[in-house]
Amino acid sequence: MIPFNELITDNLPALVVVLPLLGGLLATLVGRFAWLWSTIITGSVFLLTYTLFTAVQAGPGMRYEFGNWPYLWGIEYRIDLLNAFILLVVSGIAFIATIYAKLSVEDEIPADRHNFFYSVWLLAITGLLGITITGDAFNVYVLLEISSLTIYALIAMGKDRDPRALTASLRYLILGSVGASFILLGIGYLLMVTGTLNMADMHAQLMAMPEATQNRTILVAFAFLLVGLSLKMALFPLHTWLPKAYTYAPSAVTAMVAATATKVGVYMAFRFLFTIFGYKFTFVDMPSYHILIICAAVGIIITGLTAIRQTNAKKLLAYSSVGQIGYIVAGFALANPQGVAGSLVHIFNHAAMKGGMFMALGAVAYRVGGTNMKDLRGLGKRMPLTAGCITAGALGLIGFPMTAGFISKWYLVQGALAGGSWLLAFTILFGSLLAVIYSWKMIEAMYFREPEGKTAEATEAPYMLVLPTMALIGLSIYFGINAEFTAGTALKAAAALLPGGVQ
Amino acid sequence: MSEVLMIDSVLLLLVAATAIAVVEVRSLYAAAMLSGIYSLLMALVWVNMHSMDVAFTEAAVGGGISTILLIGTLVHTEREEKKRKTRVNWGALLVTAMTGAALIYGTLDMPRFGDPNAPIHNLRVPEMVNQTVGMTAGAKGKQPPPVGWTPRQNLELPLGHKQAYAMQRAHATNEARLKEAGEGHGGHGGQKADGHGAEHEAGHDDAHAHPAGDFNGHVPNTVTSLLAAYRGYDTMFETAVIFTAGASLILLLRRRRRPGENLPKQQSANLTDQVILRVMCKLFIPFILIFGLYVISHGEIGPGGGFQGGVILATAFILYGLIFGRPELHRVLPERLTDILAVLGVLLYSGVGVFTMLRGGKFLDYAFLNPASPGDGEPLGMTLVEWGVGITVCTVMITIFNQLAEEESK
Repeated sequence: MIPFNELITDNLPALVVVLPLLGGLLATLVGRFAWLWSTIITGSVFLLTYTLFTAVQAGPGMRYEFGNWPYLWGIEYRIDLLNAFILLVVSGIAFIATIYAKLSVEDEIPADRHNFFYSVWLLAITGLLGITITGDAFNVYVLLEISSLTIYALIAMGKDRDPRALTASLRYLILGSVGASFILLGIGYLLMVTGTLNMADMHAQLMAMPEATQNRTILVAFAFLLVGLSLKMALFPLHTWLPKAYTYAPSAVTAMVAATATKVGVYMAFRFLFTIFGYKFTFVDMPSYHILIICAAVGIIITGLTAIRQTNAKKLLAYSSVGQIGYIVAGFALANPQGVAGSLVHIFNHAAMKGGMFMALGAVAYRVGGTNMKDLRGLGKRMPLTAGCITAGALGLIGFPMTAGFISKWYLVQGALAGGSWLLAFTILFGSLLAVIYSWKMIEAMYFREPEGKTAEATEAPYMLVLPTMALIGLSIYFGINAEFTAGTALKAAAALLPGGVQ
Repeated sequence: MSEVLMIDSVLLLLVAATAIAVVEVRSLYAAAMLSGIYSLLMALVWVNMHSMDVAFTEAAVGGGISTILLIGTLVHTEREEKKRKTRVNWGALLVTAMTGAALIYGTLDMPRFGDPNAPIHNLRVPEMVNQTVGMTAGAKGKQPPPVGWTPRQNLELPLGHKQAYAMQRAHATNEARLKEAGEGHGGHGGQKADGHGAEHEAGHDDAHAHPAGDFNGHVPNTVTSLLAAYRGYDTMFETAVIFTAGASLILLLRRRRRPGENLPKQQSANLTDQVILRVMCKLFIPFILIFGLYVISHGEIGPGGGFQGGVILATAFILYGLIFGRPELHRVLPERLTDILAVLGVLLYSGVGVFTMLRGGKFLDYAFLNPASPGDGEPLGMTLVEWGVGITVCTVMITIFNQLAEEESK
């Protein structure tokens, strides 16, 4: 047996994924303590990712070869600043969402299956972290299976066996499986021509091929991966699974999934497009720039307009999420330092804002019983903290100065201008205008209407719901005022992805 | 046209015909049966490609358990598809046709079917077959290479008889050289190689013996070696996927239990009066069980392993449940027990990894299971993880069956 601290330091990357896996398995056996257990596990995972992040920030990155097989044959974890940052975001949100889950789950899920709920919940987190940390293309797919299956199940658990949650989950299951199949086919085709599954090795083999851009197998692999990844990250027009899934899922699930799942999808796109195919193949030889920018820009405008028409606040935010994915995709499709950094910063900023807002709406559902616009009326008086969180989050979505959203938009517009794309810069600003309109709908309902129905009797939500919400919204404001950490990390990670950067 | 291609063409035509039939038939029961036939035909295609493990899985999972589960879902639906006037959705048809066209277009630059010079065969595989992976770069756990060992270069795959013979010769000469050098490679491994050398001299050629050039202690079945050793970490998560499927179904479909209520109430076991079924079932079950156990524990030697064996074990229990009713199955294998066993299977797998970590190795470095002879850790570790897979797969399949059957009693 080796000492505990050596165990941690030697196996840090493995533990980030193995710990939540073991936690998820054991959650079924811990009886009434499933929530406490999950909180301890996600908290420890957050500490582990934080340690990992500081180590990667200081050094050249980290690698871990499973079973001690050399990485060309076995499976390796490879951590650089990019995935260390995403890991930190995912595990942090997962920790806060788990704390939040206690009351929300007690309210919405039958008591006899809390154990299995938390088990599946932790496995979902395992899947998301595993996708992010790995350096092996097939390992991505396996963990994608875990995260997708668990998230389908979690969404289907909507309150009182809501048939709408079941159909939304089924729709997501079918589309998600189609997306996963495309990703699997893409990886399979790549394996066929490169003979390897390790990402870095795949890239090296592709680079070594003189006529990679002429090879029809590689072209089809690229196209399939692009389609599959777009489905997974809900890029317009492949977002149709998202709004209903987010609307009818249990509150805690919406908060966690909205803040992490699509973001990990975007991270996968980063890895496949930048690390495996490489900057030159993706953005110089292929027309991905135009395809992605057009999808993103049209998506920003159309989902913004759709969001304005919604009468359910949760659905409104869900459509807004698709638009925000548009910003993130537009940023990295620009493939210049400011654009990619803006995209990365927005991954964190949007996760914090939207996670916080969905949590706040969950608190409304907990007290009022619904999240329709009429349930929000007069909320400013009845539930001032919750309403305040929604307002602060909405300001972030608009990109108001002193919020995190402003930082993202700042870099994105800079990136668009540096890329010479005035039209895109204009679209980003027009998207903010649309965000003003749909946010105003909520703000107007909360502060300028009189409460009616159940809202009139509502009181502020319990602290177990409000504090996690405030923590996330607080983060989004803190990193709006002092963006040194987020923007600095993003700029460094972006530089490493683009040509001239160190891999 | 070679025989292989001719058989393949016939099989694939049948596969396509079955697939069309699945879409066309109105009876859902027939569709479920046809999907089973589809899988069996695919299994034959895999056999024709000499990938026995895949064929076995396809037959056991696709032909066996999936068909049972599909028929199980019929309990909740009707047996006939509803008649509906369907219009052709041209958009969907176009997207599907384009996807199909892209798939075919992508095959144009693929290496030819069975081409020994394809990257997939010659980039990383020769070192795997040579068993030289993991011995380099000061890797802690794996057995060091013997003195005088030179990896075979330019290995041609797949092996014909001649090459296989040449490889045996290479082994023999290598052993001889080793003996000349008068140096073993320390401990157990050395003795083993010597033993094999003697066997070669004596002309015994046991196909199942530990190969002489096998310093990492790899097992004879390369597929299992790939799945449970090189990529054992992926397989652990595949097992976790199975567990997730079971947990999700419990989450979604399990009827609410009143406190103290545990037994399924349904008493509609009306097959019990069928004497022939009862007798045949009781006759078959022991053999199915033994075969399942055999497949799990012999995965590293022949085709098979935890997934296939687990599924076979599960069919024995499901058969019992079908004939004698679920209360009877519950008496044999209580729900609480299957829940716990499903967890324990994955825990056994990941536990092996944690154990090697605690011993000072990397996660799932089987060499650390037995520090006295690291080369032997591998078969041991692989057997353990295959059992983990088998337990989880078996219990989760039974859970899925139970959950599908349970809704009916509501």
